[in-house]
Amino acid sequence: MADKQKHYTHLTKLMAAGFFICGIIPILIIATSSIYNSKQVALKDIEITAGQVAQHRQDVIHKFLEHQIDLLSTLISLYPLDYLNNQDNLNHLFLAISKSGGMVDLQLIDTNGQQLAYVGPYRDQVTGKNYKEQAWFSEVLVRGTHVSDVFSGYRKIPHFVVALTDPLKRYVLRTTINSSVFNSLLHSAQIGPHGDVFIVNKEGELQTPSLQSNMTALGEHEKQLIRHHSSPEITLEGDTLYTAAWLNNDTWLLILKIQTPDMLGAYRQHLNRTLMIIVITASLFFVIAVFLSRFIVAHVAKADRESAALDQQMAHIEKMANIGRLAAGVAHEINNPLQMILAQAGWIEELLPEEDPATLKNLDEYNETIKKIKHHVERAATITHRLLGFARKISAEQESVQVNEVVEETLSFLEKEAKHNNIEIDLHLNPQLPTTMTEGHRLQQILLNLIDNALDAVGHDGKVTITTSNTPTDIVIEVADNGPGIPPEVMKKIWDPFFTTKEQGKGTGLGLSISQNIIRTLGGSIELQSKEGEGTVFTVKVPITQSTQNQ
Amino acid sequence: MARYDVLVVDDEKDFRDIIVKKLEKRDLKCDSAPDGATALEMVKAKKYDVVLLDVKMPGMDGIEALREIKKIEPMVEVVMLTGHASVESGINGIKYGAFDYLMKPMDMDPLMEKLDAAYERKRIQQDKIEMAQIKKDMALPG
Repeated sequence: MADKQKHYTHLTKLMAAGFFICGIIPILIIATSSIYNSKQVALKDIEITAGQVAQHRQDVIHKFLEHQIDLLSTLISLYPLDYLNNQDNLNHLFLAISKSGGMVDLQLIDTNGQQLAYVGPYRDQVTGKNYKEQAWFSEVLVRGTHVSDVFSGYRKIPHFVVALTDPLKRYVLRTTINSSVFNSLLHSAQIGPHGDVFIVNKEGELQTPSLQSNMTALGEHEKQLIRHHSSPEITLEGDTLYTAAWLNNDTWLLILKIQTPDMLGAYRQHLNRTLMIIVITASLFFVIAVFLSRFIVAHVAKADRESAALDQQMAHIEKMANIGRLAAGVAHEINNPLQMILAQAGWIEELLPEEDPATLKNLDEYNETIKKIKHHVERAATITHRLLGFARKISAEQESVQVNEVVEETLSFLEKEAKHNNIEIDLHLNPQLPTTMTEGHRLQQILLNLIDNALDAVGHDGKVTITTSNTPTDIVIEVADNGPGIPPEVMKKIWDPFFTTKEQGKGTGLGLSISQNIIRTLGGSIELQSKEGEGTVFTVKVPITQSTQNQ
Repeated sequence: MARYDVLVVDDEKDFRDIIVKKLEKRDLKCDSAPDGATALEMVKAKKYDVVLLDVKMPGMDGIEALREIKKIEPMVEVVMLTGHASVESGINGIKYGAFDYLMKPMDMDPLMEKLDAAYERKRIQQDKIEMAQIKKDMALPG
């Protein structure tokens, strides 16, 4: 039985695991693909945004520089050198063009690099300086227009300049760009709290400060971008999305860095939600799987138990049939010699009167002995007849049964036991009890069971009352004992197969279960009432049927 | 003078003997046979009035013996003897022309009643046949 329990536990676990896995796998697959897709969508979104932002910034910066160049070239084309070379005029012009705030100063330099006029805050540092040796200055003379990289120059402050020469290359007009105004053009391009945007030149020097203060040198990937890059390009390196766009005649590179985790808030929310759903579904599945497998295994166990009980019952019926056959055989074999004894005794009885009473002094004794022989042979014959009757009933089908007779016959099997234990058997048989078509032997089996149980319950010196009565539809047989009664916890299981309160090996625990089965097949019912300390009453009801086949 | 002739057929010698003794004591002429085959021979050899035939015998069983006896001597009445387990065969026997059946063990009184009744019927049948024969003879011309 413990082995079986282990088997059932194992089965339960196996089934629960099976159900759980079957339930959870599709959900995991769907959830994983959903998470993956949502991440891809989020990344694509970021890329598109980054591309647009970079493109936009590229345009804005381009226009800004173009604007500065336009202003200078307008001045050059509108005013002659003489006019510009006048400090007052220059002041005047600077006021007019620096309203936009992009310019810090305005400076006029001759082609030899000698400063001619200056408007701006760094007058002291730049006055009288020669710019001939400066890199940007020679570039301007060669190209006519030049936007320099950031350098410190004479003012010892990093800045960059926009410089133009007049078409005849007689002088250079240059302006310093307001770094904070220029830098602020990039601020709005920052995406995410850890995002960064800055401009580097071809040498990899920062032209605008990184928005992330910790950044001082360029990363390997950024250097690679400068080397290999031709057009706006978006690359993903680890968690960092780089977007690069060339500026200022491809001398500057705008680099937009986005830390993708910053931008995946919605995705993370989706992820969390999905994980939550998975956890909830998984626990739900787990509960269902455990419940379902327990339910199924309980059913299997019950079916097993029932089939075992049925097997036992079949074995029991088979055994009874065998006992019946054996009893019939024995009874038959014994019957013949008994009849011979009876016949022989009868013969003596017939012959005795012919003897002369005078010569037979023990004539009375002989007569008495013959009577006793006959009496005891008849007793033996009653037993063999009963055995034969029992055997015949085992195979009998429906027959007309007088329940009172069945009760009396059943009692004849148990009288000895009752007497032995000093148990009084009280019979209240209704003499007007009608007969009914039923299986007498099976009914007897039930009664045998119930009375036997009653005797067991009483133990010694008790009383068992058997009452028969009838309603219009049923014959009612009550077997009552004044034993200790049945406690409620036993009551619950009393009809279960294999349940027994008797010692190991004494009872199969099948008696009541079989009785219940039998009474059901007979169309009747069996009920039980018990009060602890007062006793137990089993009530068997058998329907009254008068068969038309009854002759 | 015996009232009528009876043949007892049973495989158990003690049973045959005691029945024969008891029947002879009651003024019947009695023979016995241990099995069906012997009984058939005896029925062929001598006219019996009633045959007391056990249903359950080794070799030829009671029913078979009954049918054979009825073939040889249709007028003879047969009373079957059955055991507890062979009441069916007794009833069956009546179908094949037995007069009645008795369940072993039987007391002498019912046995005598059955035998007498059987003989009575046989006698009536016999008388009828004789009467018919006489009528037939009388009707003959000349």
